[in-house]
Amino acid sequence: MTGHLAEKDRELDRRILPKVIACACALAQLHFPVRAADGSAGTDLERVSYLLTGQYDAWAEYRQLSGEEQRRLSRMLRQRPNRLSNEESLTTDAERFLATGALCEYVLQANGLLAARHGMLPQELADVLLEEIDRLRAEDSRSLPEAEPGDYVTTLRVPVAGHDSTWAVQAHYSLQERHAAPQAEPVAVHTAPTAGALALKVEAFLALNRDLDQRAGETFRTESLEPLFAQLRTGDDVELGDLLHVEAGNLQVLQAPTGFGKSVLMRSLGSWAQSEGVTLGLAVPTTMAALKMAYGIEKDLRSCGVEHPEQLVVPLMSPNSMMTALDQVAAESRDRAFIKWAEDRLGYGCALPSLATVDDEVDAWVPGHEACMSLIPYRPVGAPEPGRGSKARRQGACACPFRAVCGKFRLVRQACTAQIIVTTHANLYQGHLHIPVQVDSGAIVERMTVEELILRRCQFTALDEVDAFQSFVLGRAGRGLTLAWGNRHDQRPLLRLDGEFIQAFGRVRPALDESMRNTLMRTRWLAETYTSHLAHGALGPSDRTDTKKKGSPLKASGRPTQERRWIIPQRWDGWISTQLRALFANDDQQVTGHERGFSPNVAERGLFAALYERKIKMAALPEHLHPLAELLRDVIDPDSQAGSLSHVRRQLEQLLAPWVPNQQVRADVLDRMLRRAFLEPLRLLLYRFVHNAQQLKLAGVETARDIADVLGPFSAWRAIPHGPQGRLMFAFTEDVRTEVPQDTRLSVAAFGGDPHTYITTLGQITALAHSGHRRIVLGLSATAYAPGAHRHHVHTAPTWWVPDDVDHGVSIEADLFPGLGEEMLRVSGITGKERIEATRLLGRRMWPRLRGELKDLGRLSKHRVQDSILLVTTSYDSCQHLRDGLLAGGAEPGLIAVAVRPRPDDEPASRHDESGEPLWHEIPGDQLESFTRLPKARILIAPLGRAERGLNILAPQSNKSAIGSIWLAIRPVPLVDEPDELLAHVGARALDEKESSSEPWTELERRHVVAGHYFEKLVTSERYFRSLPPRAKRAIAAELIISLIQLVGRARRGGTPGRIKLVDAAFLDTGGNSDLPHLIRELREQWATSNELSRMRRYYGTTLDAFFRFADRHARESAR
Amino acid sequence: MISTLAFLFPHTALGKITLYPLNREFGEAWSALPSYGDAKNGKPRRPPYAGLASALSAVSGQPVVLMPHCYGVVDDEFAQPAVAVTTRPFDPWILSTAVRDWERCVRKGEDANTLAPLLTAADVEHPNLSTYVRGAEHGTPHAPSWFYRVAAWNFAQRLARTPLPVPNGPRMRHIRWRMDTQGSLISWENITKRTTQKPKRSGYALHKLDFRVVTQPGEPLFALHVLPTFSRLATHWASTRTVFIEHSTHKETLLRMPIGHTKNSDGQWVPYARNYAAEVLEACGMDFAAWPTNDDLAALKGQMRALVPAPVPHVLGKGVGTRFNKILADHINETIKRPRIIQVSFEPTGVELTRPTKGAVTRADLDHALAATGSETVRIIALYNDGTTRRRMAEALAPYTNTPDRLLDCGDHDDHHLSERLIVRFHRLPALDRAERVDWDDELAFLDQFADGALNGAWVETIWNPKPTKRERETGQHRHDHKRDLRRALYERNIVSQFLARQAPPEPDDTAEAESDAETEVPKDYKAINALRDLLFRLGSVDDRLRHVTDLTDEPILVGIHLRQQRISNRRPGAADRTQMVEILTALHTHNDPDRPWHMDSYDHSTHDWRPQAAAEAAFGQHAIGREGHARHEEGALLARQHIESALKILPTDRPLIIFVDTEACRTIWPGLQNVRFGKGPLPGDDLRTPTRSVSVIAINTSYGEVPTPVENTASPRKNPKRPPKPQERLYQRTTSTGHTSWYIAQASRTYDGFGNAGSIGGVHTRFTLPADDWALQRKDWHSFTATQITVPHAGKRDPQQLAALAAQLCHQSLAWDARTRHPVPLHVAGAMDRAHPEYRGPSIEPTNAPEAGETRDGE
Repeated sequence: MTGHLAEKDRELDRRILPKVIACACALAQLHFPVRAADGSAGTDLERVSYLLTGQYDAWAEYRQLSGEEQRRLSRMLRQRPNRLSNEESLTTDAERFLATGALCEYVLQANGLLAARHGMLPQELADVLLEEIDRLRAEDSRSLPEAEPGDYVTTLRVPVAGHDSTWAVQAHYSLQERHAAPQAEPVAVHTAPTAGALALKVEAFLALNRDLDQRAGETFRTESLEPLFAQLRTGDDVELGDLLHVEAGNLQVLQAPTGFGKSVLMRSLGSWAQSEGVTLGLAVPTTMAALKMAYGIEKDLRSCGVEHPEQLVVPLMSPNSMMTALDQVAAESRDRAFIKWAEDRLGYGCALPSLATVDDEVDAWVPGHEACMSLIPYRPVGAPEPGRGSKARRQGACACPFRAVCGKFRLVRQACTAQIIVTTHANLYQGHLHIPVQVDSGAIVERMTVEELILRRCQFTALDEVDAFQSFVLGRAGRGLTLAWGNRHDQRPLLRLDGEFIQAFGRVRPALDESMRNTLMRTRWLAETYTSHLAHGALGPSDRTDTKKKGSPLKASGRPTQERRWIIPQRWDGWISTQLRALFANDDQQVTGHERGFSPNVAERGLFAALYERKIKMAALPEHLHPLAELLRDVIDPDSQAGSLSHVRRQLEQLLAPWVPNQQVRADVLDRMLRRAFLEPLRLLLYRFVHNAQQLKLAGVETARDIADVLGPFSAWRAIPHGPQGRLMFAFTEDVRTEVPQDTRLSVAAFGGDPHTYITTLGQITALAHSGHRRIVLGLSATAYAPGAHRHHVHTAPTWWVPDDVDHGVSIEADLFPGLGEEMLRVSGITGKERIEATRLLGRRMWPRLRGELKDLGRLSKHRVQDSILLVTTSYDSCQHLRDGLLAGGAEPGLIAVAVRPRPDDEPASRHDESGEPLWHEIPGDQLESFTRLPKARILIAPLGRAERGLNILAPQSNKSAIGSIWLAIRPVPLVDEPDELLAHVGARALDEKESSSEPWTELERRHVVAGHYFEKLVTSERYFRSLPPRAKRAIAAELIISLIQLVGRARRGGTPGRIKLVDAAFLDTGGNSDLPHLIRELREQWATSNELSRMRRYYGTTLDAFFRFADRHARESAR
Repeated sequence: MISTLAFLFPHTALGKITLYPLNREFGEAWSALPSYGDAKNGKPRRPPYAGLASALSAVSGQPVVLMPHCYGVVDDEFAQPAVAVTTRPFDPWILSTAVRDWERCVRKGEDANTLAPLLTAADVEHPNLSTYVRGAEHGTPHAPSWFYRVAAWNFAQRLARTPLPVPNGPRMRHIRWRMDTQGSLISWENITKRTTQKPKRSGYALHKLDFRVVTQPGEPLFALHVLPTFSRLATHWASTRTVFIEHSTHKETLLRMPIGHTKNSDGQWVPYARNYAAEVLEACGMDFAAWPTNDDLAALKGQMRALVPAPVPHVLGKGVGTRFNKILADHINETIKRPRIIQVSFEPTGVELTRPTKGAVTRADLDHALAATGSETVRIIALYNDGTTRRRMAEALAPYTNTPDRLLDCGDHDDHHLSERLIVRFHRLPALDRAERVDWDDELAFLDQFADGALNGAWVETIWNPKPTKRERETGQHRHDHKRDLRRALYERNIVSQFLARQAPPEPDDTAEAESDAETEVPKDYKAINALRDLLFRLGSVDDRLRHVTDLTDEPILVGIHLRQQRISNRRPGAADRTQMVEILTALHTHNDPDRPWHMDSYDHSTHDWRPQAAAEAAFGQHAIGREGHARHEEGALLARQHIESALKILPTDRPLIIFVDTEACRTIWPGLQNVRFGKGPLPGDDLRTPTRSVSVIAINTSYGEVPTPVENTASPRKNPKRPPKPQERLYQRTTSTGHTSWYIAQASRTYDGFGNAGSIGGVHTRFTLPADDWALQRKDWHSFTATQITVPHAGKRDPQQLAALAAQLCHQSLAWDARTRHPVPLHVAGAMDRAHPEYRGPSIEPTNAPEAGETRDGE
């Protein structure tokens, strides 16, 4: 989206917005009518606001609405900008529109009632408005202009040899007439007709698979699908029968343990869909999986004699990552045919570099970074401004003229017509089409989302690893950014931005250049000054309401005390203005020695905010507040004479002393006022990055994009843009470690949305909004149902499931190693250098044990089945440290393969010693399956995130796992501080006792309160795992169980036993009752009380029992 | 059959006690007491319950137990928080006055009087002790913790009523016993005295019978162990800690008081009774006995007698002798008739213990035994600074040369091959004679030249160095004892060491005599021979003697788990309260193949791996002896257990395990070793057991108080009617009424066996009736028979008796000794490693380098 398009959009929004609100009013009047005092029909803003949130799962009657009514609601939602989902924003806008008459269908009455003044049936009004909006959009829609012949520039970021960083160079292009774009209509995206319910006939389906097996001379389809269907249960343990009914609407889940052929099922769905004439969408976790799936389906179709299967199946991925994907296929696969196939699909050449002249001697083609939509008309310095109107369209960026024919967009174009679209989780959630398409209404959409494409085109969508998809969405819905971090240079986007901005000198529009420089400098100044105050203790950590004991046992164990807190700048406005009531009123009668109860007053709050606001002239403030305002404004004035913060603080202290006599309260007021002085302007400044990111990116300042990504992931339309909290959360985190001031850090995070509900309602609310039809959405996973697991529990009971009652001999055991001191080694819970050392030591300690384990495995194994060890940690870095330790402990050369962060072009490599023996092997994290090709390697060290899912490390020429035992070296404890974790915890908590009501806004209010309290509890708890609220601890334990169930699946491939060894002593550390056995027992109790235990036992059977056995075995020890 | 000094008595024989149940308020009032600093310069601490109990004992002349926890049994939910137990009810006035005054003392004069009302308000009960016993029917009797101390009182009182008749020639000498306030019996009137002329000294001792109530594995009845001691009396107050007082108010009972020492106004050290006993007595209107002077003590005057504080040189020896034990056992059997008590005795099994090989490894076996060290060659580095010592070493090495009859002759500073595997190298080290501390790192730098991969062991001359006397220390005359530093320095170089004390050169005429009389055998230099033998054993040489006496077909690994808690002593504030746990694990790998010697590995903490014996011992010696934070109880026990289990997991998993543990040291760590949860609770190696791998656990108990003391072998024909026959070389067993069998081996000590009449004098006489001619033998230690009890908490699919026999056989046929060891080989080796550590029962060595650095070196 380029600048002027965005501007046009905004203009369009201005025209559409009142209509959307009016439409919402009409629907509220229809569904939640309130009779006005004068007897006229109407509704009120609370109800309107509810409808705009999209959270229809709280509405008891929603399910009974007719398809037509549901569709109307969703169509309205589709037109609603995310912002309006917030009650406050809605009220502001609605009141403004009502006042100006932009919204003339309703009038606002004194008691907040909206009385209808349209004289129609509300549903008619809604339909009229929706039609109107559609018309406006269609009229206004147009694609990005294609570059006409002329000179263009763009900035390329090219990699610097031997570095991770990139360098910006400017490329000039001269387009001739012969390069003009061919005249072609945009590709049409036809919405598939509705398919309310489909029945998969089990017998026929199996017959189809037998047939496929026969044709291909394979057996795996029958071998895995027959047992799958034989054991498939529905509801409360009823056998499936002959038909598998899938229904459009809310998510349906099929849960089956790892190794039960879910992937095979997905693949065969392809052939089935083709024969049934159903359009099918498949979403899998990774690009590789998507490619393999598409390739497999295509092969199946071809073997069935279908003509042109390559046109029916398309692996849809971001055009920018196609070359990377191709490289990965070439590196990872040994299947020649597959590589060839991928080359045909993914390979492309870019025509632009041949037209380019580049300042430096660099290759002008960086695959994936082509200037497809960022050709900027070149205007030599000093050339006159083009006259307004004449060539206005050449002002902004233009699209590459070859876009319509370029191989890069081959897959995207195909996706618009193919019958089966295979894509990835990431692409489904946040991808978009890079070419303009035309929808049924005739509107041309430049950046249609993949989500919309799939829901428009696919009657049936299957999501593999649906719980991982949910977790992914959570990860995207909450993100953070470090603003300042002590003495560090790395991981500070502002610094990098600074550097890139300097590189881009002269390429940025003058106006933007100036404003951006101001913004950047000011942001850095505020963030760094604030951090420096934190480090020096000038801003005391006074938010702590309860004074924590210092020198706690934690300190004794060598961990530095750490303060990490969330700060929401305006959170205290109400409180502070309440405390300053006497001062504001300039009335010493009101002075009180106590803390005032919280009773905010809008006027006072406004006054308080105005104290800071530089734009408000001093004269506009009451005179007695001038000194206060001056001080507060001076604090953040770099040129101020007022000087140091402590000086200002002293003056403020004197100033406030008579008005707030209670010293404790005064200190709190002061501290919070000072914090706000920094953080509130900082918050506003950050938004400027979002606005200017696109422009900056064009100039080669790509980091601006990173910053914008954090704050702006919410610009994409979502049916339910805000979660239980009802708004976007925007908060700073300050991280102060008393002993290491140089580690002081300030970060910012934004999070919002309701991924849990998004997943379950994708086929219902979202699909209706995009396509006007409910869609069938089927989720598959081994671990979709795990109440309590905040990230991976999908909030709907599985419709079909396969009991995990085959005893594969899953075992979970603790296997601890002694540390240097008295205790067994623990890594989790320590940080920095100590953590590195502990990890190395752990490696050293583990070697003798692993040596024995390898010997044992080797004795029992044949043909490399289960003769290897998977050693799992929490990060790529810790993989390296463990490897160092193992080698120092005496591990033989060549035995270890270690996962490294995947980078393009990397292939499995070995590090050699002098004699040429490989000391260890390195495998990029996305190619771990190639482990078994290393003849000597027996230990694979990989991070949990890479290892837990979808990884099939099979013994050569077999379908049995090569992994004999899995050692979890470090207890993963996700930081609750991370915005996505926080969002997951809060979101899951709000859904705990979810119910639906005929006054759904009350249910939303309840969720809001629950979520608010829980959020408060989480962010005010100390930053140690043990001090988290019990629910959060249980949630993390449940997540860990899910992780381990997935992980043990790695060893269970092919029916081999799965053995998990927990190595980190933190698993068993009984301090604070946060040891894993205790948490598992608590979870079991929790499940038992909520009547979920029997269900859990059915789903996870023997595996879950292994966890319970482990928990009970260690019950004694911790009780002693 | 072997009879013992332990008696099972029916629960009805336990009798009644006087009990004051205390409520929660008492516990709260107690917690509110201020910290208490009666030890003058000691650290103030919360008053122990024993403090008040001791004061109450003083005023009442009765044993008193005040127990904080568990009025009932441990798992009884109606348990009351506290209880006071004694023999007879207290006089209420005395009770309230004493408690009130004691509290006043603790509160430094403040008369708060919080405890006395609560204590006097308690309703006195006279329950039968048997009502507190639980679980007897399952063979696991248990009772509240105070029970075990209280249960012996009634028995002691009853025994004290009848004097002990000791045959004295044709007549009987009757020994009268008096009970003290701890429930021991004291022969107060029958003092043994011995006077020496040069130096002129007199010493006194009395007989004391201690009683201990213990359980036997699987035995429904409690056993009362009688532990007779020959308690020597102090002739000077210095350092004494316990005093007996014959108090005028309580004729019946002797007060046994803990005492402390304080400086009076004259700057003299004087004793005082701790726990404010004197003040409390005074408040109750009783006089505290006058403190005898040092001269009084030396002449045994006055009403007080103090026990010697520690093992000190004394004109009287220790121990009462086997004959006394026999007389005592008979007396008890005679006296206690109703209800009947049963003397614990053990029946012989068919397992005879054999010892086909004695002494050092022979030359023929040498290379085979050295192959067990895991090294191709083994070098003995002989460090000396005295010609005689060199000669003695050479003599001891001679049997390993081709010419065993001739003295080994070789030069210094050069390797000399004794056999294919064994090299010796002499090195004169003058620093050994230096009186002051030596920088051994520097002196031993020459050791770094060996780069041939041979395993090195040092045989080092030392000047025997007893503890310096105070005067020597003050005048600085004393020589520095290098052993500790030197051993450490050698360990740092991965060298194990063995010391040989220097002897004076033989007198010239001795030599002449020996030469002239060539027929007579030259007396063997056992000290040198044994030292060399021990050095070889430290290096890890194992010959086939163990294979010959055992019958292990499935090649198990024999593991020894040795644990010992040691106080940290580094003269830092607060260090006195910190302990460390010495954890040593050894593994004897057995083989069926006669070409492969069995070999010994030990666990090395620093690398978390098992290493060949010598390397492991050196690694052990380089670091602190124990692990701080590991302990016998609670958290510390869990840590120790986790650590040991993680070590056991590294052993090869394709071999069965047989684990030997010391019961007393290990049972709090693995509750399955306790009699009350025998075989049911956690045991070492629980995690290692698989369907195909057997893991057996054998518990070895050698505790004096717990293993019944053998009295005599009743089956043996008596050669001397007086002397109790000694046990046979055989495995004994006892099966309880619940069908639980434990095994027992018993022996006379080498001293008892080997030194003619003098060694076994205790077998023919008692201390009371020793003829005047032999009176000088009072200076000897009069040994009793000793015993080791073997139980099998988990047989791991083997026959328990065979396991017991294996343990017994591995005690009987030791690796390198002529006689039995107290523990089977794997445990014995572990104990030997412990004792060789430079910090063994000594001050902790401050680490000079970071532990991490030390480890890195290991890794290289």
